[in-house]
Amino acid sequence: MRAAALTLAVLAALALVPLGADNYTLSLVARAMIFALAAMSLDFILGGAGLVSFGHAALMGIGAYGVGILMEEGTRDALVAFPVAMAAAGLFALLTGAICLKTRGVYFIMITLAFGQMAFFVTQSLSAYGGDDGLTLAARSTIAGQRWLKSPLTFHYVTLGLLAAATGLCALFLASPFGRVLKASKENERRVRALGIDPYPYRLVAYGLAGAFAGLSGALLANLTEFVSPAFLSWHRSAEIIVMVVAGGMAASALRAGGMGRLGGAILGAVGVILVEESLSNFTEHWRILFGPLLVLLVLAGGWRGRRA
Amino acid sequence: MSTTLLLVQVLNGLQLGVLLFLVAAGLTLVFGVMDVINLAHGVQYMLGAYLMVTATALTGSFWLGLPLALVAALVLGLVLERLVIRPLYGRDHLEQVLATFGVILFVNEAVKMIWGAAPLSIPMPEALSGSIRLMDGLNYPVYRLALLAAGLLVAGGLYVLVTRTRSGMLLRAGATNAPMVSALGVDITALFAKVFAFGAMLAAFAGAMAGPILSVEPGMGDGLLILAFVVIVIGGIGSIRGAFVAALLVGLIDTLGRSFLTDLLKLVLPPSDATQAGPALASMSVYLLMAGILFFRPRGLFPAPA
Amino acid sequence: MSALLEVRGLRKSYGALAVTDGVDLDAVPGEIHALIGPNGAGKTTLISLIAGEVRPDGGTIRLAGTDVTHLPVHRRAQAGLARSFQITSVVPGFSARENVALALQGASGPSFRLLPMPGAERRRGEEAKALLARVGLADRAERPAAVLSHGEKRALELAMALALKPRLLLLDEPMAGTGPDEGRAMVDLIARLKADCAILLVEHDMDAVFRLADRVSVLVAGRVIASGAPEEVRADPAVRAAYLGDEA
Repeated sequence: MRAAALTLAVLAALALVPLGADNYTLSLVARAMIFALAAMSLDFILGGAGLVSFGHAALMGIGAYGVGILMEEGTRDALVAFPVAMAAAGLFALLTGAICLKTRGVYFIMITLAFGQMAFFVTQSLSAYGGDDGLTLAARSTIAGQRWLKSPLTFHYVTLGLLAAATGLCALFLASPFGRVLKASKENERRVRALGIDPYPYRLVAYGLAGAFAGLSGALLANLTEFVSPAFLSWHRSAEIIVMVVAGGMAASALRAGGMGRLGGAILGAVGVILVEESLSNFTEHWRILFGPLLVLLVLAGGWRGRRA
Repeated sequence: MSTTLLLVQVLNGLQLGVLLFLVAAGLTLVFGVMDVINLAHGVQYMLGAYLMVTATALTGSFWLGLPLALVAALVLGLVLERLVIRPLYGRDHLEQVLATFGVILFVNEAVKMIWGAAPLSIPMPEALSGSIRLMDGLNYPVYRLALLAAGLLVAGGLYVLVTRTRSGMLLRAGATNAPMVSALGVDITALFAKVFAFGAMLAAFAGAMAGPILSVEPGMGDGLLILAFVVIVIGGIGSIRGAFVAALLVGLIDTLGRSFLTDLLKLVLPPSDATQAGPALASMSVYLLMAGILFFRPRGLFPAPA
Repeated sequence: MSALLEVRGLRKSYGALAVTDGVDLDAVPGEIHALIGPNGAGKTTLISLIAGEVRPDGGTIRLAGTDVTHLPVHRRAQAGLARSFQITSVVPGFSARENVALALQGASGPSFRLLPMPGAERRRGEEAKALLARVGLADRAERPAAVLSHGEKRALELAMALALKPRLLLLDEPMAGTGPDEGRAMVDLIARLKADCAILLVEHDMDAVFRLADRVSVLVAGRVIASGAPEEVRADPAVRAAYLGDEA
């Protein structure tokens, strides 16, 4: 079970970070863990079920706006706001997924992209909540009335705890008979249908669950930055989350610890991409001029195709 | 709402539709013929505008700059095809998405380094800079009408090219059965390269023509790309006719929705609610249209023959 | 005994070409009905029509008295139709046991229990192993399906079909690509299966067909030109002319 070992090792390493870190590093690592949660939830449907969903930033952003709007309306507690954020993102995923999942392949990619963009424009038009400029949060969420999230250290462990719990749950989902249908439909949908199983409702449930976890990551991101804006939902960010999943999956299979769909790789990928972005951007403001060709080379060099054989 | 305002907005909507068609046409051909999803198509639109900035500055003339910019775009299209797209034929859509996203990051950043991050503008050609009186109390810029006409002309030419000429027929045959066409002794690789570069040039043409009325800035193609996706999903992937109909539909609905939906909602809602809901609903309109059409016709309005 | 599968007047055209041209066909429990015909006769289309992957232009398909003509693939499978594919179709990344477990899930209907249920899974695992033993794959249960030999994949497909406890089994060229030993084992296996369900067998291997079939129908250019006991069909002059030639 090297895949599980990898996941545990990465989570353990993250647990040790506060031992020797200043607040700046803590905030960077918190950001990495939040994106790890989003990437993990995408890996659940992309690696697990073969659904190349291109709207993950929108789901994340809906969770973030959930927290922001509730706070603006006077509800500050995470025990209310986080579940609402998850429900809102999950519901959006279910509604749009109901249509997207009727389609295949490149249609699916384009339509998830389009619905993501729809959410982006809607947040831009919310003039009561900052519109284009975004919304600054009055403070971080409280937990049962306590201002625990204010402390970087507590924030670190709350985020890590939620990441670990969500990853554990998704791993259980994939190990269940439900997950077996998802994985089988990814590899051989025709066969699954001939066995009397319609993959559609399974995929839809998985899509909704992934949406809820992405919403949770958005709720955390809103708290980290104490700010939400339409930029959270931009499709470039969706693409970045896909990059995290794929690059992490490649790294995991290089370590012989499973590829995509085993969740640990996505966590590793998110942490890696955030750290690479950070160090490249310290080096030059034009870091994308390096990151872009790197991505092209990664794919053209043969990518993760070998894993399938 | 007055008739004049409605007419102006219809013209603006058609204009957006025509631009969308020019971008979507290349995208739908590249997908329909080569089964490649090319996210970098939006940056080709942007490059068209930037090349036009430089070409008009160099030549001092819109009319000399335009062909220069188009040729440059064509060459860049060929280069991109050779370096990135050709190795992606027949590969996973996920791989195509990632590689072409890498191209976007690179080109957006390169544009920032070469031309700067600040918005630029392209001077309007002298001959088309005035406005024309369409009816009482309605003056409309000549350039915008010219843009509309040019787009319609290209659309017509493209339709003839695809349906009436030998290259067009090969192209359509190649889309449904590439091995068969290559068995006929046609060089599929060369055909694909030409189609790709031609699509890139169409997008660049849209960018170059839009330059004088929009601001030319990094990332200007990113939003348009998604709308172009909506267009080809509605129209049916691979269908030029579908792309044309869907582009005009999307252009009109988006433009009219943004200008009139809030006022329409005020008829049924309290004004403060309408001011909130109107813009949100307007920005959702084309996507809701897409969802509705897909619900009834999962393969779009004009599905390519299987 | 009344027919389990009743196909009546089934038609399907691609453009001007009628690939299925008014086909009537029955399958009866406890019998093997073989469908033969030259290449391009429309056997694959007919199987796809019966399985539900292709929609007919006309005619009806009834399964155990219920009209299934317009039901999607998975609903027909739930109604008791199991199949093997002409090109073996298993889930390559799964072990043999997991492939059969998936089929057993199909048999027990949709379930959205998201968490693993160790008890139920253990029972399903046992059942899967029993089915694998029945097709001679007992010692291959934990192997990934991708590394099984061609004949073993064929047998695995059968175990998956059996897991559905089918009333009708569609076998699309089960002998294709198997070696002589594997082929003999497959013939024995199919012969044993007919006690439990009706079998519609499409096969090119004439030895196998005449050893197994209780009834043979001959499909030529989308039409059934002869149907009856194997000896009758073998003797039918139209069949000899159209298909068997002088070989038979």
